Amino acid sequence: MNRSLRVSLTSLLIALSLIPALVVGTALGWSIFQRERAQVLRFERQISEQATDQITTYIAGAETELYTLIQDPDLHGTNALAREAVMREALLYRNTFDELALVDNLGAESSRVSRIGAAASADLHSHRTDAIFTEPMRLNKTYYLGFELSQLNGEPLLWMAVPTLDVPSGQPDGVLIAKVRMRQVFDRVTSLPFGPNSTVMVFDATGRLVAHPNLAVVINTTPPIPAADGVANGVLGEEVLQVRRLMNIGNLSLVIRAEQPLADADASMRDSLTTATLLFFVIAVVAAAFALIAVNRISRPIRILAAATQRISAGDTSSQVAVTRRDEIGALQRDFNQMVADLRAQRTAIDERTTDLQTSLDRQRDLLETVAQLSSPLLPVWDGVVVLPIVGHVDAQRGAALTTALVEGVAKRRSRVAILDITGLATVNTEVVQTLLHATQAIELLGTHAMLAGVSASFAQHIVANGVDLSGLESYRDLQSAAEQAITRLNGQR
Amino acid sequence: MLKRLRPLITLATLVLVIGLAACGSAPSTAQPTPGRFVIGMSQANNAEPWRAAMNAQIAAAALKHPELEVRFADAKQSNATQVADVERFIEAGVNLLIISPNEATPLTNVVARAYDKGIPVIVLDRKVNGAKYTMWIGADNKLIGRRAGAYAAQWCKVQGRDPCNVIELRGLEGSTPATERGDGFREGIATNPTVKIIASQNADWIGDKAIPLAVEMLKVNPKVDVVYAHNDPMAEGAINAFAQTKTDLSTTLIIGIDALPTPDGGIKSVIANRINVTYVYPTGGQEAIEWAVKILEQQAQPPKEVILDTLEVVPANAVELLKTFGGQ
Repeated sequence: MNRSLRVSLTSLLIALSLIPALVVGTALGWSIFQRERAQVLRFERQISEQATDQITTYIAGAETELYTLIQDPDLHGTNALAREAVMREALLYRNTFDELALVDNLGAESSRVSRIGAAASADLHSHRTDAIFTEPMRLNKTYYLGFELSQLNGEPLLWMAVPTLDVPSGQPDGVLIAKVRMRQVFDRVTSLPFGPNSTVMVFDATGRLVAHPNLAVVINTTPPIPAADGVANGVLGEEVLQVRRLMNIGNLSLVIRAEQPLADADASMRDSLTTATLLFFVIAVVAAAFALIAVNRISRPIRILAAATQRISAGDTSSQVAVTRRDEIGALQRDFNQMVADLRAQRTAIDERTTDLQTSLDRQRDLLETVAQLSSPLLPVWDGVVVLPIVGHVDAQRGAALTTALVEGVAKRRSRVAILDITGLATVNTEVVQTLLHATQAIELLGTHAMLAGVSASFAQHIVANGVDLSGLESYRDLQSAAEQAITRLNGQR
Repeated sequence: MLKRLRPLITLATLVLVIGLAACGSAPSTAQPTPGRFVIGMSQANNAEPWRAAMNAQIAAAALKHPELEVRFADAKQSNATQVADVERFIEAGVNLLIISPNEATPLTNVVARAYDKGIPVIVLDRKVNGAKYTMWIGADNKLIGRRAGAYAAQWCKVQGRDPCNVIELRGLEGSTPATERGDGFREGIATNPTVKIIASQNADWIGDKAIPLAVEMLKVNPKVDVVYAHNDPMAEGAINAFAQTKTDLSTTLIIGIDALPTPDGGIKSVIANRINVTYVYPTGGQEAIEWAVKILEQQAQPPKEVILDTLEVVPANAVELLKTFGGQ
């Protein structure tokens, strides 16, 4: 019983302290979770914006270089060596392009120089039907064809072309095709740091991955691009937190994507939650300890009182409990002790009364026995003569006892004469007279002669007044004369 | 039941308290004894031969100063590891820090922290941002490139090559040494207009990568007079490409850079007559120890920058220089 009180109270106290901690902890954890994720996404957006800016700037720089280059009069001259020298200078002194090709208004290459060297005239080919020639000619502006990976060293190259202008007419008279070396800017972009294992990558318009920190992944892969920012499957298959951003330069469309594995994005949040959980357990342990102490403070005196009560109900009223407190429990302990003391006092009083009653009862019983013995004494006064003195009140019960004692005594002693001495008779009434008559008749039947002694005046009056017939009964004034007559009678018979 | 749990709860509390206390305990530190100096040397990547040579030169120079104890740390090309290495050195209370940074920006803060704590910091090779370091010792890549360019220009003139075609094997595009070695070379050859760079490719400092690129360049360009490689391994790669394409190497000038005194280094290649000329890219290891001694023992005020000069290694001086640099 008291064990369950302790358990239930302790559980209740622990629950009371833990439930708020749990609620607050969960709420805090949730808000940390939301904030951290939003923070990572914000970083990723900033990074993808930076990446967009860097790529835009780089490509714009390349475009400017090409427009500067087509201003060079040597490029439009007939001297192939001079043309190649201009192009070589652009290629080998500024490192932006991997290859430059000058194409005339019919689409035929007039010169082509790459970082490997100048192409022999036999190796020049025609671009007449290629979009890289027809589009800039038609639109009279920069045209971007797309990305390819260099067969020589795997560098990502952007194919672009600018129209060269026929100065008098202002119409395009050919194009300058360039393969822009994107590796430098892609390396910078993909290593933009924003967190552990974070990745920035670039997709082209066809969804092909063209820039990724891990070059082996880049080659001809077209991983799906998620529809929205947030949690999605990463390029390497694991769950990531990612943002993607579309960028356009002229007709060129790129998708910048920044992603970080969920495990790393959530790392700091996990740390916070671990700390919170640890704190929660500390609170739990402390709460349990305090709950135990508090419950013990309440339940221990109650258990002691209960044990004392049990002893009292078993009859031990000497039980007392120590008053250990000054609060309500202390009052309870004091009152309990007072109650036990009162109970003890009452019990003592009752015991004393019981003893007294028992004593008086015993005394009364002794007295009654004495009285009984004294009420019917049969005195043998002479050989064959007995005297029955009748003293005090005679009621029906005593009358019967007297008769019995007389009959039994006479029979036992074989008395020939029995004297009933009524000198001490307190009252005379019909009942008394009847008793005496019955007694004398009974002993007469046994052959014993009955005599009545000590007949008082009132007795005689009563007999006469009531017309009682005592003719068969010898009566004498006192016991002496009755006794003398009895002795005489016996002697005469002998 | 709870009464039986009480020892357990006490135990759990105890474990918790001890655990929390242990988290806060400080790592052991080895304070240097007076009269002796501990120098922490944080290397970006021991796996690179040039950086290994730097460590070796520091160790060799420190041997001459018995009062110095140099502790080396290898960041294995990781910025995070190098930051941790430097923090450990600060924690251990080193008297001076030498660092050859893996990258400038990520290491700027930790170097500044050491400097702000009063630890003299000597930065080698790559710089850090700002001015929170004691001194920088390094070589001038542009100067080396210029020397190589001037050598090529002179050689072409002497040989009477017109045009004098140069193919270039570059380091990693975008890296400062590649840019500077390339730009310096272009400045160097400007004095002789017959010298023309006709092809240029990035082999990213790696000899094996240089071979197919050089093969391709030799195929496209039948006449190659000079091969300029940004380092000796790429020059060796080009020499391999000549062999592969069965191109005559004897009339071609092969220029390399770095001139490490190691068995597979540039000085050996010059002695073996494979590379014609190479330039010492000094590690600054020996100079760093010399300056460290001046700073620690003579309280010298060092200059903010010490630019180390290069040495031209040609067959005439190669054997002697190999000895000077302790090679074999």
